[in-house]
Amino acid sequence: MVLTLTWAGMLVCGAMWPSTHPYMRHATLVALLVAAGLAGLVAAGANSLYGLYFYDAVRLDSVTTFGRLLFGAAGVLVVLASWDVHGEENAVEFFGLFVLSLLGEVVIVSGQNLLMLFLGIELLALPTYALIAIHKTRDRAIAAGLKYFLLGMFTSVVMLYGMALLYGSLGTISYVHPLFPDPGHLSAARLGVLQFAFFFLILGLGFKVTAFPFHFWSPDVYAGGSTQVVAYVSTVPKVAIMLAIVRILGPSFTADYPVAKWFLISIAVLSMVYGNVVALMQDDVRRMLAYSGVANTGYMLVAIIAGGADSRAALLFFLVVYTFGNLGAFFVVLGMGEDRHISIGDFDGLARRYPLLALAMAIFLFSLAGTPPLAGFFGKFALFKSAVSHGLPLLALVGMVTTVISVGYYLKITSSMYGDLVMQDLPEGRAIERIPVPLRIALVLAVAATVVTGVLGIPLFLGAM
Amino acid sequence: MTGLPALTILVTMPLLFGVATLLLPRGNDQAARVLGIVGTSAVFVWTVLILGAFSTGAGGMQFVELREWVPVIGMTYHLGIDGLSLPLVFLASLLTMLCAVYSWRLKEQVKTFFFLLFLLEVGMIGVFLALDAVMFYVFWEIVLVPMFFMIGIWGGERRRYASVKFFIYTLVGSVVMLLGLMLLYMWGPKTFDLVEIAKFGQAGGFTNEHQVWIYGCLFLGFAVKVPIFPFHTWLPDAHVEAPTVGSVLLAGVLLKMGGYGFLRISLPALPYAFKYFSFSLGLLGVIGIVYGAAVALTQTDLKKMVAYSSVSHMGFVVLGIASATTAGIDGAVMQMFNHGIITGMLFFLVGMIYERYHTKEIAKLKGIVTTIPVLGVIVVFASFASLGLPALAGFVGEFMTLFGGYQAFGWVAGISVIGIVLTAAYFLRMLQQCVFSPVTEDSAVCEMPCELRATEFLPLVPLMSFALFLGLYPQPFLAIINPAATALAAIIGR
Repeated sequence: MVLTLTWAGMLVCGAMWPSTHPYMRHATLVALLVAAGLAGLVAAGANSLYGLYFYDAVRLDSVTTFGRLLFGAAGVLVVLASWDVHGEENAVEFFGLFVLSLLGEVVIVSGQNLLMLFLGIELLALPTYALIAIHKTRDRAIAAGLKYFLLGMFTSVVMLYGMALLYGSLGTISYVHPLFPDPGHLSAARLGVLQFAFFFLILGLGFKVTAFPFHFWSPDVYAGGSTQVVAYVSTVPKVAIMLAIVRILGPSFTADYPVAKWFLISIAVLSMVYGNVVALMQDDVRRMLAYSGVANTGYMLVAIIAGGADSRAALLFFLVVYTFGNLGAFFVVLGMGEDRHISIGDFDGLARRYPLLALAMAIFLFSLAGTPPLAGFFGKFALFKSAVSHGLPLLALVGMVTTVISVGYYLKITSSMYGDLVMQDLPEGRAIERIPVPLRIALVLAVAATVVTGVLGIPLFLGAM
Repeated sequence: MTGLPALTILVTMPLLFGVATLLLPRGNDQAARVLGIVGTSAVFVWTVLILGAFSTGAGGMQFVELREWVPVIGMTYHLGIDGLSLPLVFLASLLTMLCAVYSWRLKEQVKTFFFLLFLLEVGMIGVFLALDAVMFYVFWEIVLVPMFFMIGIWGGERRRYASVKFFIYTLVGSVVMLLGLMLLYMWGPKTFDLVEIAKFGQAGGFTNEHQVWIYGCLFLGFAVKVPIFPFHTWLPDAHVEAPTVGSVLLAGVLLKMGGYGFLRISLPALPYAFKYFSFSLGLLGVIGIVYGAAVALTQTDLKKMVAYSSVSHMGFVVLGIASATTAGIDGAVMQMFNHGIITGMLFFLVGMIYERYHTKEIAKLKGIVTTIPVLGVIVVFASFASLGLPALAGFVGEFMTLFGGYQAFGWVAGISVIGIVLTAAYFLRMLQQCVFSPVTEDSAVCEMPCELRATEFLPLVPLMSFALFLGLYPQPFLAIINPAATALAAIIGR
């Protein structure tokens, strides 16, 4: 409860702060740090606070704590990355909306019924629509925001319909106990409705996590929005909703509902294959990262399909890895120039001109590609191993083979950065303005997280699970 | 040395030197070079100390370090060394040291280069020491990254294409191998400890069907790395574009990882599948020997010729492994070591020739022995060693693998003699053309200074000594390998 209040308090501060106050951003940052720290304290302190609150609507447990810590850390990085960029009139709105959206994510991970979930999703999504469009001077930003908003609202409504159907067939919206009961106890008619409901629910959630075929908005939106917003939108909401899906489905869902399982498998396989193959053809780096995000959603779904406690641990680890790898890659793009079209060619010779920036990018890309000993490898390893040990070796194989495809585009950038390192004549490249110090700090932190979680993190993390 | 975690030190030492190199202040190229040579030499000295403390007659693993690491996923921290891995670890640390010496004159991105060299050494040594499947895979993959950058940064014209192709091609094999390793865990004793898995497999723990599946997965990973025909197509591209040092380590050490994988994992854990596929594997080895040699004969590019000769020579390794006889396995390890020494030498020589003549075209190179007598003589020596002249190292390994292959497969192994003849043909043709033919007007001209520098000559000395010594008196070397080979052959029971 204390934590929820902290978040709410932050929200109030964020919204009410005098509009021109220069310390606004610092305040947000500090508040985030404090919230993250508190959550960490709860995690370390005792399980005595763990349990259900607010008439079983909210649960405080290891997943909630995990979510808070991760969102807090990601939030800090995004704030650092956005330090200077929105220095103008929109700053207050920007950070206010941002905090509001983070609050939505916390509601999502702690919520214990579909109503809380929907509330959380809307709380998360509405600010992001505005954040995408906040750059009024850019045409593409407005278009992207509008597209995101319309499609988002539409899928939200469909999802709400699915939730209503779920209530109709099950008589409950709470997932304190597993929401989907043993299908043996349900009549055929109820089961039929349930399947429709499930489909609509997945459609709505799939839209938010950019699973194929509900991903189609993401490339345009990612290419249109400002980079730091896209870094955030492509990472944290996805993590939150993945955690919600884990909560809703419970550990034995896919074993009980084979049809739904195959539905999820097809989404996962298509996401991995389509996302990676199309990413390979992109030249705009942000679009490429958007499709790589689709593929990563597929990898996350693998763990959800596998089910079981070990898969959940694997998924949580992978989410950490994805968060820092993806945020980091977007931050590098941000560092290369705000609001510009960044193509793969812009990375030519980057290692020569900006060696540290290139090194950071290489680390993020190799981590996303899953190369040991970086975090990405252990993330994918844990995911695929959970699939194999739950009798899905072929799904794991699809994951591995598509990973190889993904290496194709990650390496395209890397070899672009490093290919001309020892050439005598420096190729003409895009000049980069000085990278602001806060963004540098964010990059260093993301690199540290990626390297440290890889080498040291997995024993600690999986041990704790 | 007793009481110290000798192998942990061996595998972390290059890492620490690498980090130290990276941390050198900007512009300290000379310091980076010195640190590179000192560091790789220190690793080599440590390897020699381990070699000295290694008790030759005893079978089984020595210097074992076994700790719990991540029990949740069944991963252990398990290192060990035996007669199979010791020669390869020695080879890796020796060649890395020689490469560091050879790179003395490198001018661009010196710090980055030595960092990558150290990182590569971590991976190469780690693969041969790891006794846990996850650690094995991690080291196996770590090797790819520095090699990718070596080819991609210091490579030739088409370096971007070649580096990406190298990375992706070998990664395809690796991920399927990873699936195989996971299946070993799932269908096996629920641990990634390779020693446990081997025990489990020899006790008949895996069903025959499971063995075949796992063997297939692992095969793809190892086969790409060796490379076994028809998975060899990445090799010529990578070699042609790679810088000299990259080629030396690629051919000298990286290819051995595949052969080592067969002996360390497939054979002991999956005896049924290994026996079941041994004839096909041997046949692929024989095809590799003949095919590699035939293609090498048609090459016009010197470096590509050496690259295809690698395909051919690694065919002997595959044949020896497939035979699963004591002689065959002894010969395979011997051949891996010899190939590392001899082909490493050849790639160094090609690099020196290219630096002087700015061409690798066999047709344009003429009369090396008259222009640069020392270089010419060494090229002749290395070529003879490579084509398997008796009394030089190449002969011993080839003879033993052929002998093992004949014991197991009869006349089929004899086909590889064609490969030996072809090998003699392309090396002699090359020698006649490049080394002995008179210099003409249109031949490439050596740019001064032609004479070998000390940093070029020094790396060749130990390689030549080993090629000669092991050819004349391979016994001490075989004594190291033999207990391990005998134990492996006993599993298959040929």
